[in-house]
Amino acid sequence: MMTCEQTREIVTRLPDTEANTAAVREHLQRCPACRALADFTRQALELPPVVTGTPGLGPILLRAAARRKRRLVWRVAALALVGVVAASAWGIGMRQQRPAESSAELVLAWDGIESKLVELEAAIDADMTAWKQQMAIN
Amino acid sequence: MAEEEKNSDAVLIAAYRSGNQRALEELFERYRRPLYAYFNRMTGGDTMAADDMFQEVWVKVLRYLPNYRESGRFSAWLFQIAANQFRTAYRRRRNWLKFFTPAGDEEATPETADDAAPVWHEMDENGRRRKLEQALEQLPPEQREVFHWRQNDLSFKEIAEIQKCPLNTALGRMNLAMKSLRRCCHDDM
Repeated sequence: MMTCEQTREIVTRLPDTEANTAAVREHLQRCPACRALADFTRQALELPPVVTGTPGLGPILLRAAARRKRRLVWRVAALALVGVVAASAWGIGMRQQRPAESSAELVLAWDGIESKLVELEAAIDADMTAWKQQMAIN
Repeated sequence: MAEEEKNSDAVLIAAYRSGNQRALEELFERYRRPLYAYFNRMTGGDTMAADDMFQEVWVKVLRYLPNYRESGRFSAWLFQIAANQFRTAYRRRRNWLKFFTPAGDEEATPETADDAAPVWHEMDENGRRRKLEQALEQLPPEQREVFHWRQNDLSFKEIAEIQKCPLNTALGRMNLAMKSLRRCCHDDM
């Protein structure tokens, strides 16, 4: 035998008497208070809410398009920012690398100059020797 | 009924994905009333807030519909977005009100029916509808929500998922809602 409390728990979620179990139906037949709650629940659930007017699809599509555009702008801005940051990082890196490279270049350049000087000195010496020999012959 | 609805929604969604704009219009037409009624009820008739939330939900639907995966009913998915939208707006509003409302003023106590007012079973359909809407305004938002979703044929399992609560909580909320509504509607059947 079902109590009123048990029946009320059921009929507020399942007010349709026919859909309920035999035990609930039996209780509803002999209990006017529970039957009234079931009737009220059914009637309330069947009353559609009043909707006078809703915004149309047109403004929604416009809003969605504006939102898409804004997202696109943000995406481009984010990409541009990433580009700027990457370029700056690369520039800073290059700048930090530059002195080391310059000194290496200087060393290389100095080495080049030194060997050239040696070659030049040897050439001058050879010229001088040749010239002295020439003078001696004359 | 639910299976039929699911199938026809799926057909419309597929048509929209393949570029049929008319399918979107049909989907919109099918759900605009229950969705708007939800916001209207939850905001207590604040049409500006309801309009804004309603539009926002459809903007989200347009954004996510191309990637929508059919794991349940479309209506449950749509109402889930609506409930999230309302919760976000409600939280913002509540935080805002905390600054400007003196303590104790935020929660209204549910009113019982006026003794002189006509009783439920003597009212016509319009009268009942008006009375029900007034009574719904008195309910806590969670109970109001359960009632609304039940009116739109959502199962308690779907409602529990939307409200992110156990099934028994959703059932309990419906029970409490019906008891309060009946008291407010001056039902002496």
